[in-house]
Amino acid sequence: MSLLRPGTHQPVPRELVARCHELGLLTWRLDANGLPMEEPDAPELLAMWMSSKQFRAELTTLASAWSGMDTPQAVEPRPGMWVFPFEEVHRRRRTGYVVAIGFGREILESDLLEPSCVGGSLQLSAVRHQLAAHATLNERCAQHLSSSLRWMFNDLTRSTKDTQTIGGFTEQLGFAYETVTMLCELGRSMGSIDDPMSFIRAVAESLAETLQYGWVAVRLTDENGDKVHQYGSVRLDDGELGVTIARIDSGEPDAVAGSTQIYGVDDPSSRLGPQVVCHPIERAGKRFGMIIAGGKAGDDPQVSTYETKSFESLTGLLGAFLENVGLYEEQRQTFLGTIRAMSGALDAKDRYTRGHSDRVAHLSEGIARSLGFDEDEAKRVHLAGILHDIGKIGVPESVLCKPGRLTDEEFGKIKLHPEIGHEILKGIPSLRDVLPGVLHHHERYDGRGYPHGLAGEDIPLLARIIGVADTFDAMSSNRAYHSKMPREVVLAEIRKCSGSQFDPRVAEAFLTLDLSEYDRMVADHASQDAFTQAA
Amino acid sequence: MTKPLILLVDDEAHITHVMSRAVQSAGFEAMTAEDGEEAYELACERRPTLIVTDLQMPYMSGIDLAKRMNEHHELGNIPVILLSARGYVVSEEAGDLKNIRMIIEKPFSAKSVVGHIRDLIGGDESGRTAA
Repeated sequence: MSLLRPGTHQPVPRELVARCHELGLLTWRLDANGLPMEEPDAPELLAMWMSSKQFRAELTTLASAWSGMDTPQAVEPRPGMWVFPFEEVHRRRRTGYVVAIGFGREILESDLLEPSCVGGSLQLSAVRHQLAAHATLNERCAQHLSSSLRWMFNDLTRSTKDTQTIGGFTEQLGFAYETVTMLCELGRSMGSIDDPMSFIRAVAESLAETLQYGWVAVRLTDENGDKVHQYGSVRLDDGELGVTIARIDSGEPDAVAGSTQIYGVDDPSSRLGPQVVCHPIERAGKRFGMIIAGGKAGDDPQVSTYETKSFESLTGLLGAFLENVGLYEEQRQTFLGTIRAMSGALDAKDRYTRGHSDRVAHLSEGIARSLGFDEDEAKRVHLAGILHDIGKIGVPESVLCKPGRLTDEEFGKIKLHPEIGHEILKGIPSLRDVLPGVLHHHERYDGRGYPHGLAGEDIPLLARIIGVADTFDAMSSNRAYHSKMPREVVLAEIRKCSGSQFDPRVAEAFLTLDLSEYDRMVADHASQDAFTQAA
Repeated sequence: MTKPLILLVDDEAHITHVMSRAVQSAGFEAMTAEDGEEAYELACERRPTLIVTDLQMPYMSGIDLAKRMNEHHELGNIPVILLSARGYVVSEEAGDLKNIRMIIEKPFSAKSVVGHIRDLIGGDESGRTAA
């Protein structure tokens, strides 16, 4: 197959006309009958001569001969005058020609010259003089020129058409690249399930940018109702958005392409339109909401299936993402529930430490934030706080709840709890990060702690943090072996032990904490305790 | 046995270019036209086995081409696949034309269009079967 079938619309390439001029040829655009469509492209005097009735008659005669030919041929109608025709095509019909005209010396003696000058009221000597400057061709030269110009015409026509085709490919490829890049980037960021809104934003903004929508709204629906988040460069007001959503809810789209609904906007001045598109966000039969977009810019603001297919892909990604978010949240709640159950089991065993784990978790998280930990790290510290004493499950109740002083042997059993806790938890991959806090929270900064006698920075920071929080809470509450100490005494003790028992930086961070929430927790735990004892 | 002739019609040359290659490598003969008018002339002249046409084109749209073929006593049996970026606009109208067998949304996979061509020609009872 050739790309060069007779074109629907095929003008003579402008570059060919320019090249003819460079070769010293004059050009003229004619209709299919050889009648001029424009002024000849020639010096003024020659143009006037060519416009004479006699000269024009030569061309109409030639056009009549060309009309019977598939490809019009170059001819020498008069000695020393060559006409090279190039056909123009519209809707596959020949509509005219651009002719290039060249002259040789013989034209100066031609019997065409005098009558055409008389007919055009031109001075023969002046025309002859100007024509002489253009009369550079001879027979052999004209034959070569004829072949060369025909090749040039074919090549330039093909090249023009191929350039258009390449333009089409380029545009499509550009769109495909944009779409693939968008999908790859979004695919990569699908992992950020702990921050769903940032992924939703990324999807909406990619849609707005790649498909040139002025506004994109993501409507999320759950058991608590609807929430609409708006993105893009155009910010709709609540009224505009409300009308749009009400119309979508009425369920009567103007058109449907696949599962994309399309709504026309009648008011041309509206920022909503010209069309509003809507695609549901669904996954495994569950509906999460919908993406709505409008205000499309660009050369063609009407919605095409190029866009609706992108909508389908993106809402598909979004559906899978939201399903993962739900599953992840469910899993997280199960996990946290298990952790709380474990710490509850410990609380049930030792009523004196009831609420201790929660309070240590709260204080440890506060210290971590004060030390500049990010959200994830702070949450991890919290979890380590909840679990730090879990090993006490393995310590006999008789020891754990013994009032008064412990024997060395009993204290030896208590001191095993960090290692027991480590043993209990080490098989749970998602708790790997909190293990150092469980194992080392009884180490001391000066190296006199247990179980490993680590000192200074060798003690994991997580454990140094829990160490301060744990000691503070132990001193601030009633235990089997002591009554709670007044706040100022406890704080003075923390200050005093900074640098020996505690990492000074951690102790300092602790001393800046606001303890009002802690006090509220103490009160809550005390009242729960009273309630369970009464029961 | 002569190869089935597929007429590919689109004013965007890159589409007919891609489709021609796909159709030819699937063992069919391909012929192209830039608009419905040219396609109709070629269809009268060459009697293709199947036509794959764009919807929006100058001079004669894909749907008008299908209508005109439908009115013709011999061309009406030639199955037509409509390719469009806005097929949703004419889906009802196209549904009324018995020769339009399928509307495929752009962007499309040339491979899947060839698959549909095979299915349609294979199921054609006029005796024009795939080579």
